[in-house]
Amino acid sequence: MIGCDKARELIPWYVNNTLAEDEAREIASHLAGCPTCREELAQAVRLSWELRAAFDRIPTVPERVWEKVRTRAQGISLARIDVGSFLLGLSLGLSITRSGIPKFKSDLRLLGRKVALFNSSKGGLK
Amino acid sequence: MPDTRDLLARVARRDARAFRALYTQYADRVFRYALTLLHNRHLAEEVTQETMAAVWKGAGSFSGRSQVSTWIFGIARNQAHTLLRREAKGERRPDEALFLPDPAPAVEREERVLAAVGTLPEEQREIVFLTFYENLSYRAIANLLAIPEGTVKSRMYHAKRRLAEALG
Repeated sequence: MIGCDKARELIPWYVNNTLAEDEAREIASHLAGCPTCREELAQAVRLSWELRAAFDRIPTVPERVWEKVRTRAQGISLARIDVGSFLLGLSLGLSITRSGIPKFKSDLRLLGRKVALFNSSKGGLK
Repeated sequence: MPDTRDLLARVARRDARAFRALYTQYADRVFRYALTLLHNRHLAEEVTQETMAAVWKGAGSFSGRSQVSTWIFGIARNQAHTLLRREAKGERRPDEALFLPDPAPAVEREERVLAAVGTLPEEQREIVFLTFYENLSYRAIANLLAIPEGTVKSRMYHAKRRLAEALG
């Protein structure tokens, strides 16, 4: 049987449900007979809700970070040649990445909407 | 949602889709962890970028002895401390609030809670975040921070006491 000190020490992880089975059983058994620790548990539950809601308010990571990670993971474009027109035309692209693997890309533009025709890096990071 | 270990194994085999999925699962969480530690958006973005790039590069070295989340947060923590050391040598960027103020009453309470978290020492702040937001066990936190389990518990004890005082 555990005492109040040990129970209070473990209550935060009883609340987040990550204690080992035997530890959780001991806490539950202690709580059943200890109103003071039950009040401690209620406070920890309230704090847990409030903290979760508050941390959820922290902004999410901007999309530009993914672009940077993707570029680093895939290799940095060293050279690129594009031919095409904005409204209607065929765009041809050739880029060489740091990894040394050339990538060919071709797409048709209709009224500014891009329709991919060919992309040698189809399995790459989007 | 695909199993995280499976995703990481696919990332190790250079599966770009798996990496995008893993990024989607973890980038915001790493960013929030970094922001909680550093209180600076630019640095938190940098930590997220470095961490996820390191995950892509080092997925094959994941030993499987810990949870994937513990491994990724461990990388993020190392990156954050590397940046902090770099910042300490140069000009320190000013700390920022964790989010922009919003006058709605419920949000006001959340702001107070985050402000109270912000007053905790970094070592207590991260234990609060990892316990109540990431739902890590005290053993996983001890492993991640490379500190004894008793230290995790005592930091939590002090953090809780300070938060209770600040929030009434």
